[in-house]
Amino acid sequence: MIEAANLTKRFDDILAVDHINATIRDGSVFGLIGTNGAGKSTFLRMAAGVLKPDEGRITIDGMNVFENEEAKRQFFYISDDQHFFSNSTPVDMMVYYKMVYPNFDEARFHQLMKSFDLNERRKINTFSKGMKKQVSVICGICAGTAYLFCDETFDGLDPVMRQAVKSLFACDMEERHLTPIIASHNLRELEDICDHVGLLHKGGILLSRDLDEMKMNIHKVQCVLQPEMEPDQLEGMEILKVERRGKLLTLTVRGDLSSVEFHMQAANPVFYETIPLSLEEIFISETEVVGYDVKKLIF
Amino acid sequence: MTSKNLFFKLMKEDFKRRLWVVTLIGLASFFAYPVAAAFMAGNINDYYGSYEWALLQYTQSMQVFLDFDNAMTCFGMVVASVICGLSSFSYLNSRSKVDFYHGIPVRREKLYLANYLGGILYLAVPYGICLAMAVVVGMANGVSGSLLCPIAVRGYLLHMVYYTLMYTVTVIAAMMTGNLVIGLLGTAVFNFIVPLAVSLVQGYYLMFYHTYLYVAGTNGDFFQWGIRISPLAEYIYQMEEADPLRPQATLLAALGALGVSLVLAAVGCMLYKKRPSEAAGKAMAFHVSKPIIRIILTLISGLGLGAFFWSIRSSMGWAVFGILCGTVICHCVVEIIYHFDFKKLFSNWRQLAGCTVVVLAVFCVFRYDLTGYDQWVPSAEKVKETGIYLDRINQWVSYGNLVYSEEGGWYWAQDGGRELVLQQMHYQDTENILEIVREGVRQVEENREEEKRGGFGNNENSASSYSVIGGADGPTAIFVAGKVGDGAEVTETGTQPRTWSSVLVCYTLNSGRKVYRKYYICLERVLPQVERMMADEAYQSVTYPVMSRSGEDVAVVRYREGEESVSLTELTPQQKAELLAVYKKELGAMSLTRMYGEAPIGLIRFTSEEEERGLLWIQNLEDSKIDLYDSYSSRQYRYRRYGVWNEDYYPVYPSFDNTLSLLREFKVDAGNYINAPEITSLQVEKEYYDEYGQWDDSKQMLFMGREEIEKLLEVVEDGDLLYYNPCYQAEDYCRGTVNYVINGQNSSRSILFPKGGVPDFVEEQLDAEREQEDER
Repeated sequence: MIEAANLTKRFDDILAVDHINATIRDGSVFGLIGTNGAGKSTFLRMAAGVLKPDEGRITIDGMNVFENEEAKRQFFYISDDQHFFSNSTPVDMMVYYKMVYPNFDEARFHQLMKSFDLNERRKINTFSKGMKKQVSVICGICAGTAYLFCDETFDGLDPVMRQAVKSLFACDMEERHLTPIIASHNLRELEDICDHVGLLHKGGILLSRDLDEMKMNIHKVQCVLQPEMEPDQLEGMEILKVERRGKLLTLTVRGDLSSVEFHMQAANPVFYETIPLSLEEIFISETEVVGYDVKKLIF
Repeated sequence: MTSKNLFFKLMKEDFKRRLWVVTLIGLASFFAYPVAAAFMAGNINDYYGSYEWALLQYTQSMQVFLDFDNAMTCFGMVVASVICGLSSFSYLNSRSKVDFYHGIPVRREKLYLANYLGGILYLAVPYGICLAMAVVVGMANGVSGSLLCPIAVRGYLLHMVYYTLMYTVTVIAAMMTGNLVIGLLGTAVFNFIVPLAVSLVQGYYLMFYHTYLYVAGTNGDFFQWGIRISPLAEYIYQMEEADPLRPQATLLAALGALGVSLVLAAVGCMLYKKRPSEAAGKAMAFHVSKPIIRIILTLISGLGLGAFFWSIRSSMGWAVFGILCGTVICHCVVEIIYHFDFKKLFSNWRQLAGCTVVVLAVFCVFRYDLTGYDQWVPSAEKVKETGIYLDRINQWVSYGNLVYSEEGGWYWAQDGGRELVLQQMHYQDTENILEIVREGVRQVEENREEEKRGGFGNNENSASSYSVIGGADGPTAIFVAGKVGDGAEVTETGTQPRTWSSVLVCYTLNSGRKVYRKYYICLERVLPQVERMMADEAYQSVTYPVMSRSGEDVAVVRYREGEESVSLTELTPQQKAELLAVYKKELGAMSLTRMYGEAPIGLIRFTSEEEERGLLWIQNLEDSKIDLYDSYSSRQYRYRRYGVWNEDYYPVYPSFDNTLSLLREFKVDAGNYINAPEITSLQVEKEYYDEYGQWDDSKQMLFMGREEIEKLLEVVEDGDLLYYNPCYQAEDYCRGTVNYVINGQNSSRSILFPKGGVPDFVEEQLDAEREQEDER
């Protein structure tokens, strides 16, 4: 488990990470989202032991990360601009990683390189941006660590590759309880992979929720109510947002599905239908409640 | 995986990353050592023809080439240390690389150590291999391996020690900066800032304090040690000082350098651990070092530019302008480097203002002598003893001795006469010295007043020019040269104040501390004190080394007059001792007043057995068949010959009756070596000056008539011998040349005619000829 307590980092007079408290459970995919400059990379760099926190602490399985080899063996960090040695090939990188990660799976590396149709002997500097990301992810997966820190790793991957990487993550999560922590500024990118999402804004964590929990507790209802009936007359429903198009209303409501359906039926509408919310819509709703216009924060 | 294995694997990986460094150093070493050794062998064989002589030359060249004092190797080491030092940790300047290296499960100490040691090995291995190859090349060309191997090993180890020092300092510079170019500048700062600051302070002393005297090894220690704080300066210093005959000093210094390197390496490791990863790409890695470096650079720049403008214009206005330019420009440049942003130029304006005020204050302290440095005269009770050196009196004395070196034979080794005299003299009549010093202080005040009134040299009665004489260590003294006008007062002795001299004084205070000062005074103004000082045994014994020589040590007495030189080898020990004793007595009794009226007629030298061996060596070399006038060695030989042959002579004045009498007794025809019958002609040269005292013309006239020559010889004085008379004034004489034939060989010698003493018929003929020319 990764725990950040009161984690703070300043760069000169800029407060990059502001007293963050967060817990990342093992075996789930943690999505870290936020705009550019929100503090995602700084958080991950502190989690990776690259940066030393100015205040607070970040631990992996109870161990402080900074300058702790034991703690650092628990994760593989893929930065947003992953470094490859000049003129090196994927095999050269594998040799280096194998040297520092005792559980590096060389056989799997060769197998994955083949699966992804990447030439192991070709110089990495001749690879495209997406191919470099693939090499990073393959190295990270093969390192055999419990955690994988990915900073904007999906940026630059085509949809097919993204799916392939997601499958890899799913496979390793299943087989060896890998915990990927993925930072991205694009919420749509994380929607179908994350179990838990943390929203960072201006260095602080605005929201940290379990995705399933959020999806279970918030719903969109499209309905046409009886004439003269207004949404605020619907009893027993916590309506977060109302959109009106003629007589067709789109309501965003909080509560479990059976409760929502029960109250809708009780109101005897002309028509109603419950629709699942996208992660994006959930976030818009949740953050608007606490007074933020999340469209400005993320999209 | 053990930690040890990981360390070596990290080194191996680092080697892969920096193969270019090893290749570069390997290639440079290959051409610099084995190829150069082979090239020298061919070159020397072609040049000298004779195998024995060529082998001798090649052996000497190889020794110099492989040894520690090879300047080319030093240069290579400096360049290599910068390349290796900056490349070892260049990844710290890139964010992506920092994320990579600091994100892997390896402690920073291990990364540091692997990269640090790599930087040493990448030089040590190729350099060692190429050096060994050079030794093999040397041996293949006939040079003894037992001679070359120890030299090569010594050179290798010593160069590696100083390389390690330089390299470690570069590593520290890399740790403290976040950009390659700034790292390079940081290395330059570490190597040059202290020597620059120290030289600047010394420059201020020399420029503003008239009485400041730099004496190497004593009060110069502060400056010398200050300069040697720089690793580069220390490297060069040790290289210059390295003496194979005294290896202990070099070894101790090398051990010290190694110790310092280890400490600095530990400091580097600590800095690496403290260094924030986010410093990558920034100018400075640590905030705390920013103002320190900025303030130091701003102060030095302000003081330097202030001194520069002062030295050109001697104007306070220009000095202030220089100070303002120096501080503001330097501060702004540093701010731009720190922030890469013009808007931040004056973000620390308070520091800039503070630095400017400090520089102005320091400048004023020196300029107006606010500490009273020049006026300081100790009270006689506080002085235990003094040492005094008057360059006018001592200038002709040879301080040193003949020594032999395996590499180049005999030579005259100067041992710093000035320092020697000042430190070894135990003159007890402090009050007498203080009288002389007070005159010096009065003169300094007069000069300062003169400066205030409109600059130096406008008053005929003042010293008229400054000059700085220095060597590799920097300026060693300021000499003020000049003369007094005709209207100067006449002293009690009837002698006009005209003989100026630098007076260097060393006070040994009761506490044991030594304080040095320098003055420039007119000897006639303190003639009684100078005479009293010259008569003192403590003064004489140190000022004239011959006074400390005992009769038993004298092997040969040599007498020189004109072109003639006589060696009195047949004298009995008693005769030699007697001659020495008589000479010492008469030299000791020679007063300055008597020197005004006499010119030496000959030179005498008392040599020991050891010194005679040196003179014989030179003589044998001269008689050998080697072509001495066609090679570098011959130039070196001629320089050495001059020292061995001409140093350590003392003047014999006409009033040295007992000395002359003994010499004549020993069949030396002193005073008569240039006889009129042998002189074939005599040339007189007279210089003419315009109404402003500027040189206008000169006329020469050759006299060949026997009667004219004899008349001229009555007044002529030997030009070379006058150098030995402290009262000699060049402007009092007309130059001339005497041509004569000795043993069938034409020869000539420089002579001088006292002004006013030139016979009328010569003056008339010269003037008449000049008038005729003017009419034409």
